[in-house]
Amino acid sequence: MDVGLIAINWVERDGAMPTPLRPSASVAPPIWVDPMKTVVEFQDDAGDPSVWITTIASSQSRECFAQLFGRFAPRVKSYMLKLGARPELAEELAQETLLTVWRKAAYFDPSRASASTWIFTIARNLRIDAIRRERHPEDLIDEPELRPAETVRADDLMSAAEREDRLRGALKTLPKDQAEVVQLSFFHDKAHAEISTDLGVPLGTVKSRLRLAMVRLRAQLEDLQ
Amino acid sequence: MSIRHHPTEVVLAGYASGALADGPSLTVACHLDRCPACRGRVRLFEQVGGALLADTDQAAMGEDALARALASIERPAPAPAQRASSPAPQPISGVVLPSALARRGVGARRWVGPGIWVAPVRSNAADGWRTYLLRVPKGVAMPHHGHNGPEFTAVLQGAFHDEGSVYGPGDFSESGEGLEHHPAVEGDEACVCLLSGLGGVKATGLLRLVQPFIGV
Repeated sequence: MDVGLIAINWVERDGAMPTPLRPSASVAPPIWVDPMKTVVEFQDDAGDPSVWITTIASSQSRECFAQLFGRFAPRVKSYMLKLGARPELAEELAQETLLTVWRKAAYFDPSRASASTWIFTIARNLRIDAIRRERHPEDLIDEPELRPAETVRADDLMSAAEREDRLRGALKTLPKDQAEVVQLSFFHDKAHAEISTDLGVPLGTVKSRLRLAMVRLRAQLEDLQ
Repeated sequence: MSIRHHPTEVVLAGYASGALADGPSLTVACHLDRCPACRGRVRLFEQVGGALLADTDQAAMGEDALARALASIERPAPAPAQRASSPAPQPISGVVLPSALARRGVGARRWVGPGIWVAPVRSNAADGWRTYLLRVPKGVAMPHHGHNGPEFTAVLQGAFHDEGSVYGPGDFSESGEGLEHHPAVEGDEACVCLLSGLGGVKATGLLRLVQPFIGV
């Protein structure tokens, strides 16, 4: 990786966001949509979620929000459940994630991150906050922490959505044992030691599989640029 | 001095997935603050998270979930919460803290030897990780000691050498359970590090005499 080509845009946790790319969603007068009358047909995998988010930012489209909610809320809930959240908490965190997407839509830059990567980082941060709150109820959640969210290569001509498509393809070409460890590392609340017990392989093997998978994914993406 | 010691892919993946504990994540954040290459790696791992999210199965939401969401977005966003109980962060004289650390707040320094201090960093201690700043003046070697568990170190200022390698500003070090070593400050400047460790330090030799006072 050529370090010199990477431009960095540090995105902080809630409360200290950089200048919005577009006017904040709260500026425009709200358009009331009766939730009971909002008819949304969920055609899974149809429609571009990046466009939905940018449309939310530009015109507070409730229709686009409903589409996005239909696409992502059940997946974020599934993610939270796999990570061990109780069903009510998983539902709540999915709600909170999509609400954050609505409020922060103006910060979304489709050239820097795909919709699902952006939503993943929001869900992850909310989960970290929720865990901290459970363990330290006296702590309030607004404790910003650096989370590097978006970095781009200045010469990156591939859009974030294209990159993600290719990454999804690359994930499918991983050897099964590596794909398994990647999946467990991101989507199950298990320490590497526990993963190693479950898979019946030594801890060092779990770590080397994850390392090999990450090196391989990186190499494949860089080849494609 | 350029950065020579980076977190492993496994540590960076843990940071990106949110699986890494709070204290170790802070040490990684201090490294990322200075390391564009690792920021790029974390970004890739976040894309992996995004791709997995896009492809994951769906859990049924409650019946009124969308109606609730559509009602929520009509309400104004709450003002950012204020931290009531935490002490105001104290500036640490002469030490430039990465913003991730500065916002957390660093407790009062405790001098534990000539020119040596430790200062606790506000972090989630309930998971057993102890996270603190350690300052050691030039020319000083830490007493020989062992580790009861993993420990992560990010160098903020100065340099130290350990087991044949030199660690300078931005460098990252991960040591495992059972390591016994005695790192020493390198160069003409005091060395300041952020450390996060689990299980504490096993005193061997001289450290046994002072450990009760320094609390590491």
